[in-house]
This record gives sequence, C-alpha cells and structure tokens, in this order.
Amino acid sequence: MGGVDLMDTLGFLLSGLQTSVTGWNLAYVLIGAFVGTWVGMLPGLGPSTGIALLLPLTYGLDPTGGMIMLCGIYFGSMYGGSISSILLNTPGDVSSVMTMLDGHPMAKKGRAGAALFASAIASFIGGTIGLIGLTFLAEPIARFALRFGPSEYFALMTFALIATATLMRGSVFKGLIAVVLGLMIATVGIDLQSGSPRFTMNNPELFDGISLIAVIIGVFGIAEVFGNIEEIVEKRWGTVRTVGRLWMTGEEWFRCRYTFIRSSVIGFVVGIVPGAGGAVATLLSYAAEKRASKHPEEFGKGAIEGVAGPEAANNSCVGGALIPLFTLGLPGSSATAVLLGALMIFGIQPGPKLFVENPDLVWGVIGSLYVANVVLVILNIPFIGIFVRMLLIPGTLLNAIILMLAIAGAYSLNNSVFDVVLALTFGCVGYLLRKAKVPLAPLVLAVALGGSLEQSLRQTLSLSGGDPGILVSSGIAASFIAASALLIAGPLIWPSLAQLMQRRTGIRQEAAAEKSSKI
Amino acid sequence: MRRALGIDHVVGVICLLFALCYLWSSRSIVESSFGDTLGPRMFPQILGALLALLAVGMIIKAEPRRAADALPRGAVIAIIATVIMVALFALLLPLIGFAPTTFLITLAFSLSLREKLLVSVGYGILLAAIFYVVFVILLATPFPQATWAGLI
Repeated sequence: MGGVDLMDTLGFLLSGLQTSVTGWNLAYVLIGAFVGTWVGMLPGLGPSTGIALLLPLTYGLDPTGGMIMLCGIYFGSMYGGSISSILLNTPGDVSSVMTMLDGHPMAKKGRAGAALFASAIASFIGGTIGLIGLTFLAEPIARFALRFGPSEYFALMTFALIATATLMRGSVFKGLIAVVLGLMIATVGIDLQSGSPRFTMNNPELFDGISLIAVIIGVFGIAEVFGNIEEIVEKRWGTVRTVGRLWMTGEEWFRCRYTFIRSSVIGFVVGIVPGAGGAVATLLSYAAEKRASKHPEEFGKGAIEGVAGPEAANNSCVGGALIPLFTLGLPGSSATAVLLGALMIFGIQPGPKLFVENPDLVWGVIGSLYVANVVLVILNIPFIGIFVRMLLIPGTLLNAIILMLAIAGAYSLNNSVFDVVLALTFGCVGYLLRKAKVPLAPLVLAVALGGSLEQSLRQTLSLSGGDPGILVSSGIAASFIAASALLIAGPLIWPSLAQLMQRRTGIRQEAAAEKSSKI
Repeated sequence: MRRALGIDHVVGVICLLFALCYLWSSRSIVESSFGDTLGPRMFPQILGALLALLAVGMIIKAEPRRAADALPRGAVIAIIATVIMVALFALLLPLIGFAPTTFLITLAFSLSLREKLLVSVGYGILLAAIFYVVFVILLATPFPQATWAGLI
C-alpha cells in the first residue's frame, strides 16, 4: 500500500505542476512572486500584510488562480524580507529578524552581496525541502486528521493560540491578552448556532462579524504606517548601502555546507506545528547554527551561517505551515491566517476533505510553489539591483502608497466604507498595542480561529451534555491541552529555567526584541 | 512620589474598561431555547472575565514611563492627521469619487509630514492616477460615482 500511495502522490504532483504552468496560472505565479518580493522587501511590510493588501487583485480570478497568486506572494515575501533586513537593518516581518543580526553587519563590512546571495540560495534550498515535505506528508496527515472530532480540534486550536502567545519573546501575559482580545473580536456578529446577535449594536454591517482581512489591514498595514511616521519624523528612515559582488567565497560555501539542510529541516518541522511559525523557526535555526559552528563568536558580527540558516528555515517553514492550513484549516501564523481568510472568500473550506473534494486546487498550488521557488531564485540573483533601486522610494511616498492600498483594499472587501472605518479603528488599536509591546500575531490568529474554536467547544460540550471532562478524553486532545498548560505555566513557575535557556542560546535577545517589538 | 504613568498602565486600563463594557454588553445576548448546552452567552463572558483579570495583571506589572518613550510632536500631529483623513475618506468618497479623494488624502498625508507643497501635489496626482488605473479600470472595483450634482 505504501508503494501505491507514493505513485499516487507523484501523479498528483505532476498534474499539479501541469496545472501551474497552463494558461494564466503561470502568469499568476510570476506576478505573485515579483510583487511578493517587492512587498516583502519594503520595510515593515511582511507576508501577512502583503497578502492582505494584494488580496483585492485576486477577486476576479478563479479560486485556483487566486490561491496560486497569493502563495506566490507568500513565498516571494520570504525572499524579499531578507533584502530589507540586510540592507536597511529593518526586518519586513518577524521571520526576517534573525537574518538582520548577521546580515546587516555583513552589509556594513561591504559584504552585502555575499549575504544576499547566501540568503537567496538558502531560501531556494529551504523552500524546496519544505515543498518536498509538504508533497509527501500532506495527504497522510490529512487522512490522520479525518479522525479528529470537535474535542481534538478544540485542543489543537487552543494549543496553536497559546503557542503563538507564549513562544514569542516578551511577556506571556501580553501574549495572552492579545489572544483574548482577538477571540473577543471574533465573537462579534450573529451567533450561528443560536441566531442571537452579539455585540452588533444594531448595525447591520456587523451582523456578519468583523472581517479578518479588515483587522489585518488595520493592525499590520495602517498601524505600520503610524509606526513609520515616527521614523520619518525623527529622520530615522533607512538608507541603502551599495551591494557589492553577488557571490560567496569558497570558504563561505564550505562553512554553510550543512547549514542549508539542517536549518531547512528545522524550519519545516516547526512550520508544521500549528502556532509556531517563522519566528520560532528562525530562532531555533540561528541557535542551532551557532551551536554547530566552529566560530560561534562571529555570530552577531557577520557570520554567514547566521544569514543562511534563518533564511533556509523561514522558507521551508512555508511548506510546513501549509500542511495544517490545508489539512486542518488551522493557520499557524498571520500569513497563513490571511490565506485562510482568502480561502473562505473564495468559498473553499480547508480541512481533510480538501484533498478529496478539491485536489486540483491543492496540487495546483503546490505545483506552482515549486515553480515560484525557481522563479524567485532566478529573479533574486541577477535582478537584485532592480529591487534595491526600488528601495530608494522616499519614505513619504511609500507610506502614502501603503496607506492608500490599505484603504482601497479594505473598501473592496465588501464595497463598503464601513470596512475602511473598521480597518482604521484596528490601525489605532494595533498601534497602541504595539507601543505597549503586546504582540499582534496572536491577536490576528485568534480572530481567524475564534469562531471555529468556540464552535468546537460548544459542539464538544453538547456531545457530553455539559461535562467538561470530554475535552481531555482522547489522547490527542489531552496531550495538546497539557502542552498548552505547560507553555503558560512553565515560564511562570520556573523563571530561572527560562533565564537559563535564554543564556544558553546566547542570542542577542534585546537586539532582536527591540527590532521585533512591532510584531 | 507620583509614579509616571507608562504606556503599560494606559493600555492596561483601556483593556480593563473594554472588558467591563464587553461584559456589560453581553448581558443583552439572548439565550435561545434550542441550540447547545453552552449557549451564546457563556463564551463571551469567560473571555470578558479573562481579559479583566489579565488587564489587572498588566497594570500591576506595568513599568513607569521613561523619557525615551515620548513621541515627538511632529509624529503625533502626523498620526492624528492621518486618522482624521482616513475617517474623512469614508465620508468624502461618495461625494467626490475615488480619484479626487485619493489625491486629497495623499496630499494631506504628505503635507503632514512636512513635504514641500509642490512635491505633495505631485505625489497626490501620481497616486490618484495609479490607483485609479489599477483599482477602477483594471479591477473594476465599484467605487461610488462622484455626485457633483448633489453638491450644486
């Protein structure tokens, strides 16, 4: 039976590859990859904002084409995020923070070209390994997931939210506040199970609830503009360094020989875990590379493994993160949360049945990711000069563009100005929260998952007639609930352990936290 | 000695107030006779209580404000200006149409960041043109048509 499955999978992959190069789909990949790189490169805009802002571009397309373009943007932004990290010392997203620690020092030493090249190669290898993992593991996991009932889903979603809240740097408290806020936002609207309106204040525009995309546009797009305003006014808006030759020396290749594979595997495995995304993947990769290196003292000052590792990890993480998204409908990061929102807009329900009911879509997307990966590494190496020149756009114009994109994007969700007002409100809220160092990714994930979380809780309790014991009755459910509890209680009960672990990995936490306090 | 109120205090208090309003509002959620055991009211109430607790915790653990945290006046002005403008967009759009509104917002945004008038006008025209082409022509987003007639 194993042999038949393998051939089946390869067959699907081939047909997916075919779908991805037929007709307009190839164009969508190219557009998505190019635009995604550009968006990822812009300081402060990450894959989640990029996908959300560019979502309106896909409204007229068929679901397969639309998803292909969006995933192209997703992948592209992973490539692009490293460019602004290395050149401008400004990560585009949490996944590029670690790249900045060694990438920017390399740029200051005039080795930007090598850093960019290493990052492109690492991204390609990481992306490929992640995609191979996705190809072969997606269906078996989907089949396993068919056994999940509401209590398993509840446990899994709880774990995803708690993991996102606690695994980032910073206060566990604030992470939990973000999650609860997001869940509260998700309760707005007419309750599907009982028909009662909740928090709608008699406004018909709220009957359907608050749109996830409007929240993301506000919290990541508009709030980002506010943050950038600060930097423009204080004249801290970045300057571009010259790039230098795009090549790595023989010695650098040698040092990275295991990095590419090792970090790709780390990234992929982390990506599969719902709730752990690019941040954790790159953090673990950096720590692993530093441990494995013969020159750990160079990390933080321009070690090439410090660039290659996190870059491989954040690209392979994409492949991993798409698994819970497609097989369970469970986003593991803000970017996959937006993809979930996009799938819902297209009318597609992700879950174990997706592979059965919509194999063309899934395999078409997977096939086009392979194509996107190749396109991106080709784009990134010779054409990097073009991208770099685009960074010369003055800050005021750039932020005006982002602002207008946010407004137009929010409007086109439902052709209503109400969504623009919503996005603006969340922009203010997001900005305030950011200033208080409350992380925003858990909030966004909570908005994405809130409805399903509550629904599975209620279904589970209905099945058991109100007995909460059912929530931990199955092995899977119990273990995820236990893991969630550990994640919360652990750092609180054993703060010394947490400190010990931080010192062991020896990462410049303050520097990273400083830069990523926006996220 | 008065402790300086830091951002943590402010946000903590806001969250607490929000939690209390949320809980108050949840009292008007109608319980229905059919449906499930938990009901539509329980989950929001749990969330509200949790947020209130967490907010109190945040207030207690909050640090006082540091001098470095202060925002420059220019930034505050620009941010508030942006908020007002985007809100105005919602009002202006049905009146004067997409392209003029884009122009005005970009102009105001740029001016609030102290760009020269000519440069700001240039940005405004540029963005109005690009966005018009992309959103109205290419994507055929149904923005309301300008109702100049209504103004005359």
